[in-house]
Amino acid sequence: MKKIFLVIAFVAMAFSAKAWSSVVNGASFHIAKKYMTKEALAEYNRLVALRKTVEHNSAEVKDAKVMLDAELRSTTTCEKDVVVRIERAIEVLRNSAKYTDKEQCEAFVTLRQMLIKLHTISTIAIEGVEHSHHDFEFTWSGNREGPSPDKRDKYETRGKLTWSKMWNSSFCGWHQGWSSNYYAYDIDLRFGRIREQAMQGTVRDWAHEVGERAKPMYEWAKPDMLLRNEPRLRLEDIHLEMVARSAYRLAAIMNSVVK
Amino acid sequence: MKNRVLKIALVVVALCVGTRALAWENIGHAVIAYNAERLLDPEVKAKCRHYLKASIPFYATWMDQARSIEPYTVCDKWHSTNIDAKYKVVVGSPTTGAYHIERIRKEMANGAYKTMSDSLVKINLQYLIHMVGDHHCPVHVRWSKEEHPQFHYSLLSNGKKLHTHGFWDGAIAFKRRNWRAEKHFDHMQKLSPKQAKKMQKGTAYDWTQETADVWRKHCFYAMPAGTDRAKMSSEDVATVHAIVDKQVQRAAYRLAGVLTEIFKE
Repeated sequence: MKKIFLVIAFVAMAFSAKAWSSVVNGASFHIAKKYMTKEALAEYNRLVALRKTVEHNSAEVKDAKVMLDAELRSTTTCEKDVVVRIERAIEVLRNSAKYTDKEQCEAFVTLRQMLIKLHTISTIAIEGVEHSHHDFEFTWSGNREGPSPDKRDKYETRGKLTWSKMWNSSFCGWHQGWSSNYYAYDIDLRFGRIREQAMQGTVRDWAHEVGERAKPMYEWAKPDMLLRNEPRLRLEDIHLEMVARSAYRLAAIMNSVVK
Repeated sequence: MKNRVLKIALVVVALCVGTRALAWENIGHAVIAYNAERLLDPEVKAKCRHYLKASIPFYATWMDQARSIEPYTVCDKWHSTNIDAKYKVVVGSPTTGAYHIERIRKEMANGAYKTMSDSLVKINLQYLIHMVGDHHCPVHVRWSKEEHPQFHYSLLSNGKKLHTHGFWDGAIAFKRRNWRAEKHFDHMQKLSPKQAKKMQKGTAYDWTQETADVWRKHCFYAMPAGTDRAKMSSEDVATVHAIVDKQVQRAAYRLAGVLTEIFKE
């Protein structure tokens, strides 16, 4: 029984540590490929194939954070920081001839995973905002809060969520049955208008931008809060916008890597 | 032992995705909306997307999420429609979904949607996308317990009590958990234009009446009280699938028909 419990705990932890669901991850990669140049797409596909054949270490995502100062700037050189890891990965891919297949693989895997982390609100850790540095638990009131405001509080709360789990994997549950292809189609349809702007700038600019979205949330998002469905519906839009930005930026990086 | 551990792990993973059994469950609505979108001609599809600023399936479950949020609490009762003591659909009651499907159809007909604000058209579409789906779900006809006590019973799932509502809401994915919307569309029986037109005839009241008849003539017998879904034979599963697939087909074609009727020039 203890073994079963440990397996459950492990699976639950592993699931919440990963960024986004596999369907949404796949969607972001689909979108990115659409906006790569021919050369970039060829290089991307080469790296995907390499990843399947070359033994390499997976990117460690569990504790990865984007460290921002009080002005929401990324100034760190810490090796474990998401931004630094992306920059190192780009450096390897830009100069791939100097690196082994294994190193290129690891850089590619790191780039994809860390770009996703960069665009996951719960990854953003802001100086002076204590609870942004750690994951925290809160209560979500559930889809069915109640038929009317006066009866709302009589419904049982659905239960606990963590801040990271909400941003990583909870929204796609509202779209069961969607394939990565279809998610990609819908996200690109909704956010295509921001693509050009999103593809500009540096990794540190993007970190600042995501920080600007995250900071106001930490004013109300706190441990043990009660999150009702209304704000959570609005948060899904932000999540999907971040998926779109991550995808467009992956395309931008691959396009720049092959130039 | 390994199988048991794997099963438990899969349940945990499924729970981590954070879904909840609602009308048709989220997947049922997603499939109906996806299938309807695939059936639309490009002009109508483009107009829907223009107003929704998203795909049609994106809003498939919106009404379920929004029912407790002002000002949408008014739509809480619109997910189903009443059936009276004589097994007939109740017509004309504003606390029923069929009433509002017909209201919206009428208000947006003959190009009238062009006089509406974009936000009003959008919200009306969001209602239609969900309600047409709901009114083809066999358990979204309201049988009063006093008038129809025989329709209020439970099923079982591995010996544990399972409400019939919960079973039929999720029946589209029963034994087909890994099917994506594309696969459901490929599986759906396609109709000729003539057959589609015939299916799309009628009002939401007609369709609800039909759904009520599906419930009492088919579902009620396919899954009688006390049936344990974990012990169903493959033939019984096929019967359930046949019922659900037919309802999904009807819902998809009719949703496509309603949207075409509103937007086709």
